[in-house]
Amino acid sequence: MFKVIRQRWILWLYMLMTASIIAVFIRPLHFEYTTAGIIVGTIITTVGAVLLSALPAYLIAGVMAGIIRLPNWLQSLTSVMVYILAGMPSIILGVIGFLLFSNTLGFGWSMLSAMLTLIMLLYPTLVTAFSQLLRPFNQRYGMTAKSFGVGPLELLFRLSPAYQKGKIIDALILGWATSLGDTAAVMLTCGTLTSFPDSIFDSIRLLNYHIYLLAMDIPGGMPEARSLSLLLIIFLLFLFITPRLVHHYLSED
Amino acid sequence: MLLRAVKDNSYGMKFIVLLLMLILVFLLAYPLVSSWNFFTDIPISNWLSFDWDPDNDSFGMGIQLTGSLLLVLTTLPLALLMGWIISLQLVDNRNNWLNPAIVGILEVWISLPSIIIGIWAIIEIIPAVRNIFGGRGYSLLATSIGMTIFIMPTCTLLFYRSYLSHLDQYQGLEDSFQMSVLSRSELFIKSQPTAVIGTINYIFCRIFGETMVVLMVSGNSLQVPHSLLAGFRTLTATIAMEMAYAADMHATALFAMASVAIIFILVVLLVQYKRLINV
Repeated sequence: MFKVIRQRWILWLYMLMTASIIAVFIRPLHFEYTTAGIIVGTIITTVGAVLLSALPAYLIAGVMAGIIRLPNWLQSLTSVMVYILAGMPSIILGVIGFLLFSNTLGFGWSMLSAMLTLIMLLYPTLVTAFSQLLRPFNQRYGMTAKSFGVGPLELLFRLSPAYQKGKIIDALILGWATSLGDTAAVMLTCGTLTSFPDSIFDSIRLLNYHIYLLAMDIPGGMPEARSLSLLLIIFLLFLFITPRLVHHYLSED
Repeated sequence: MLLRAVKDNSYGMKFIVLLLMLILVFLLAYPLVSSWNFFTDIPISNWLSFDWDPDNDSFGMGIQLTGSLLLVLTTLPLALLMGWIISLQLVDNRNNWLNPAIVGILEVWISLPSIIIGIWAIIEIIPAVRNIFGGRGYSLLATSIGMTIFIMPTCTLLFYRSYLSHLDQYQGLEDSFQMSVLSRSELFIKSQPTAVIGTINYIFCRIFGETMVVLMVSGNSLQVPHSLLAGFRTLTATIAMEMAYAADMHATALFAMASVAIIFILVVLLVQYKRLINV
């Protein structure tokens, strides 16, 4: 027993630290300021952003995985581009979204500008996730597909989803979790209105920004911030565990 | 020509990649374009000074830049060290049942909202720092502890994945590695320099650009911290805090601050450009 702990004591320590951090949030739940508009607006905005950024990210991931052959300089340019966007801080993306979508294009503080800002944030995450699943797929089936006369786009959009549905859904869920987790990018673009959104041009308050406001600005909001954080943690754990359970049934590979 | 383009689809792909590239350049240049007035109107000695008072036309970014760099200096070594130690243990126990569980926990940690870490730091770390070391508690020390815990999982998983690919490349040579004079870390750095440098650059940018934890824990006092227990303010926190009520030149100064941050991060990311594209 002690030998086991000695061999992996750092891992056990890490698990203990995680448990102790989550334990801080386990208190009686308390809700006063949270409305249905916040939750519905958050889901629509984040899911819309993931779905909108998935297609270009999938294409670029095909380039990075070597399925779509491009000249060398373009290939390296693509990867450098993704690398730069991944390193950009989210508040900078928020400023760009505020300047471009809210001010210049005139969308104002709305779900649309938040969605467009989140696309910039999600693009590198999704490209990395997709290229990680497409690279082994290409190594395994790329040559065979070529010999059967299957083009790169058909390989990307027909065969790969047929063979690895589960992994693609995994990547999309990773993107969704990322968009739920980032506050700074949306705090300048989506406004703070808590009412139910009527259209995509309406202002909403995203859940993570709502938690921030509860913790810092609203007096006596800390218990509610804590209970919302607990719910968010549980939801994210559920999001990451469920696909691993259904993975087995969705993937033929 | 058109038929060939449709059939071959490499022209279309080239077009799409170049279009995305142009969009990226346009997006990154947009804050600089919007704040062009600031750079032409305000003399350089003004905006490089240590005096931030937008109401009286002094737009010094020195305090904020110093705060950001100090935060990086205190957090980066801690995060890299802890991430490296945990990833080594993960690699050693890669056949153990604990490994997938820990990797799953790390993945959840990566996509956990940073505000949750901030709330945890407010509840736990700040009182602890206040009780043990004295002071207000909202300090460089508390922020760097919170940031280390926030950034460590990213670091760990990046190191873990690149170490696994290092092992894949040199499969069966572990025994000869053990006879080597070099340690494991040195061997790893020699075999995967791109991964190591890429990880360090990426973590640098994440710490430099992290807003919410810093906004909640740092205290946001407008000063260069004289000790670990003093409050400070970073570039990104200033943008997030003051954008809500800024007007005219003040707002332009904030956009200018964002473009300074963009240029800084581009320099950090592309300083190893030659090495990055020769993978």
